[in-house]
Amino acid sequence: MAQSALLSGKITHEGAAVEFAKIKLPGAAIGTLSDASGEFQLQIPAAGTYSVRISLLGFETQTRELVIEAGQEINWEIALTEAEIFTEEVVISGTQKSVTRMESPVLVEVFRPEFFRKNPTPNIFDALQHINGVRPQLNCNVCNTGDIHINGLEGPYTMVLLDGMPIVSGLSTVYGLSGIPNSLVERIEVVKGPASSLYGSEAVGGLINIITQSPQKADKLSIDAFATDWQEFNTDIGGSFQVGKKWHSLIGTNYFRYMNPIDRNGDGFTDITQQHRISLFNKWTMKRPQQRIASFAARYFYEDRWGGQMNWTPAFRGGDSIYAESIFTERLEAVGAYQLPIREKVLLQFSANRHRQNSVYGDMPFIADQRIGFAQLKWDKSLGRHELLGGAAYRYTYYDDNTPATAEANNLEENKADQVHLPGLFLQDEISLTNEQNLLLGLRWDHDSRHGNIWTPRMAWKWAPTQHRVFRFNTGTGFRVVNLFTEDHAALTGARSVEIREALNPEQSYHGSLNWEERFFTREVYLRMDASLWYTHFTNKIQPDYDTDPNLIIYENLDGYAISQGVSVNLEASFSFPLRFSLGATLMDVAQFTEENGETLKERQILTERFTGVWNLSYTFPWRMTLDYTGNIYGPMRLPLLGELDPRPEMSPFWSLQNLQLTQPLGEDWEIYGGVKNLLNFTPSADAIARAFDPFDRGVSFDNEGQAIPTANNPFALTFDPSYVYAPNQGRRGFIGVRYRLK
Amino acid sequence: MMKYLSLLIWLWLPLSGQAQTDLSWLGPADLMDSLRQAPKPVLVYLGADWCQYCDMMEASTFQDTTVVRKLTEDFYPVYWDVESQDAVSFLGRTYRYLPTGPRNGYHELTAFLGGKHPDQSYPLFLLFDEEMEWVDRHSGFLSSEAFIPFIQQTAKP
Repeated sequence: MAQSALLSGKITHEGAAVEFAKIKLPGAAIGTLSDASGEFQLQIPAAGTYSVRISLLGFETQTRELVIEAGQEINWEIALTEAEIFTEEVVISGTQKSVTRMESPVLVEVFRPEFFRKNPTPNIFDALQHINGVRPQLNCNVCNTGDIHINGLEGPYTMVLLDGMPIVSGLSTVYGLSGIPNSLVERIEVVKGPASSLYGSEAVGGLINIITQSPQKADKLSIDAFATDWQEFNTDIGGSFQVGKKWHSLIGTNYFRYMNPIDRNGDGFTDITQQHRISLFNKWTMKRPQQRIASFAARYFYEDRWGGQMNWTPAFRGGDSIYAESIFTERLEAVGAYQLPIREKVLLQFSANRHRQNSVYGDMPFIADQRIGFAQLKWDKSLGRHELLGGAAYRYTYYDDNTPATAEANNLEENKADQVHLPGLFLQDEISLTNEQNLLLGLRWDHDSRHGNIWTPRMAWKWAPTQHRVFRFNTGTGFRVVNLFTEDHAALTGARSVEIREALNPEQSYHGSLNWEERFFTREVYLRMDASLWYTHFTNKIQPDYDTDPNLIIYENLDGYAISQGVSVNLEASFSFPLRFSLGATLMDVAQFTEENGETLKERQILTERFTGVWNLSYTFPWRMTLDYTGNIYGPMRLPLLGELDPRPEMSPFWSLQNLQLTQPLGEDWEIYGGVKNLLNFTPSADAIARAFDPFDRGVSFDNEGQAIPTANNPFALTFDPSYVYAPNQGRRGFIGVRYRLK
Repeated sequence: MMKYLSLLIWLWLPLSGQAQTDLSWLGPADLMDSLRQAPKPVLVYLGADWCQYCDMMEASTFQDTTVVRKLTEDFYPVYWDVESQDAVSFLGRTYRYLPTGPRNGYHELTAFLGGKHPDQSYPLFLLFDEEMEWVDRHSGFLSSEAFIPFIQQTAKP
């Protein structure tokens, strides 16, 4: 019998001993594990040549050849290398809507792309309709531009951020939202209620933060394309790659085309605006020591949209014979973040964007150029129970257009671009009072170059008495400086002229909200419920007045106050069988109170519903097909009428949009989907555009004060007006699409 | 509406109240110590605070006495919160949270354990034998009836 031999050795990783590594000779069916000092000894029964496998979860498996003679003792020094980590986008089954930051005193609702795929949309603006309390509102029957309402407050009170940067503000709250494709999104965070103490002006009604994908996590190639039977085509193509060891990059493209004028309601106008747009996005991240952040992204966006009379062609653009609203928009955006190479955690964030727009509303041109630069230095510090966040921000806005809004005050012929400098400082402290309670205190100071110092405090308190129950109380103030011409589309329709009766002051609000979140589960069912109660009081609010004079939109400081109050409830359920649903409902009251002759008059806000509901239901069949049923219901809204004689109803009806979709994965990489949007075929009444047959008011007689007067061919004293709009004018349509992903 | 809601809450409360499991999960960093004392197969459970099916399993499967007994006696059950941002040592290697932007990033351990797998979702269970050789994985809800055969795969023939 041959004398046995001995293999011994030490296993290390970066100089440190590695315990529990497995040393195995598969050929001889023997093996051992390394001990706490990384050492091992293995008796080899016979001389010969062996393959030795050294493995441990988390490290690259090594295979070495061992040639050993009888009686020989061999000692190996083995250095392990770390196994490569593949990063993957994780699909969160059953929790497309997930509140990840349970520990935060401010309720942040997080939505992942899977949530929005339940009813695929070509852009984020349309996708937001599925979030309770958030409503994309169309402002114009002709050009279909819109803004995002949160809890009844209009678009300008909603701050939309891209990677935490104020990319979408001013002009783009109305003209830039439809240009953000869903494919860029890793997740969307929604905060309802003011967040001005961290984000400054505009974050009065709420905050929508669009977090773009990380190049490290994105698919190598992804394609998502769909078409509808109205001949709308949407294509998203994305890809990611690595350059060298340190750089990762992501490219995302979106192309949307709808060039098929349809007039089903017979008013002579396109039902839905013709659109043609492209978005190109490129993001880079760099690997740095100590996991420091360095990322940079840029996006280019171009859109050509028009809506109007069916016989319009571009040759009529700007003319007064055939009416259309035609908008060319070009945007360039850049966003970056760089963590300073120092011990403290200090992050420099910056963004810049330029928005150029060439538009005509009938024969009225609107040509605007907006540039916004933003930079912020943010310092994070943990000190015992305190999580401190401090920072300094600077925002610069340049705005110029062809209207008197940007003209010398005493010489309207002289153009003067509007420039605003907004430096700010902020400090926030999140204190862990006990295991169950957190308190957040924040204060911000801004200096607006026109309005002086603005202070914004905030307080948030969270109490989690059990693991599955959380109460939150948030209070704070919000502010916003009004800029009429960039925010209100109706101001531009050409159908009305704008009258500003006095110098407008910044809008200020006080807010309080109470939120209760509860999770219940058994072996059969999971339920998550949250309920919120909120109250916002505006000491000043600039509200367009459409009612006093149908040819004017009047702006003045509010003589009185305005409120937004309400309650919203969300319920989500999953079951041990593959059914999931979520329901949301909001009841609210948005109104303003004015003093008149010692009496307080309450007036309900226009185009604002008192009730909204939203739901989605998903069921997955054993053959992996998923059925999604999504929908919204809206209560009546008060609509802008054109004077006392206007025969149209003052209130919109209850209306609902409902959608069905089937999705079938094919293998691991492919997925096909299809369904029906607007199942109930709901469209607003055909008279939504007043005097659609006479868009240039040729047949309207006006009195000395410019008021339309009733005549034989205009018995109701109407003028052309597309602002009586509460729902999209697009009926039922089928869609089909395909998705492909290569990891 | 509120009436029904409160009824629902009242109905569920007793059930959610007892959702305390006797099962004690190890952290990834504790595994080495345990393995050193006695080798046993390892079940790694990846879950998250927002993971509904994880909560449902904690209310059902992980309350099941057979499951609890088996996991406690014959296995080392390890829990990993995929949203964690703390550096953690697991089997001799340190895994960190890697930020990729101001508000996003990933944890190396989450990414490593999740692996390159197309239909990843939570809860995710990874089963290893007593020498930490990979045996099987499962993502999604498992009833106690399905869970036992899943972990029994480590039983020696």
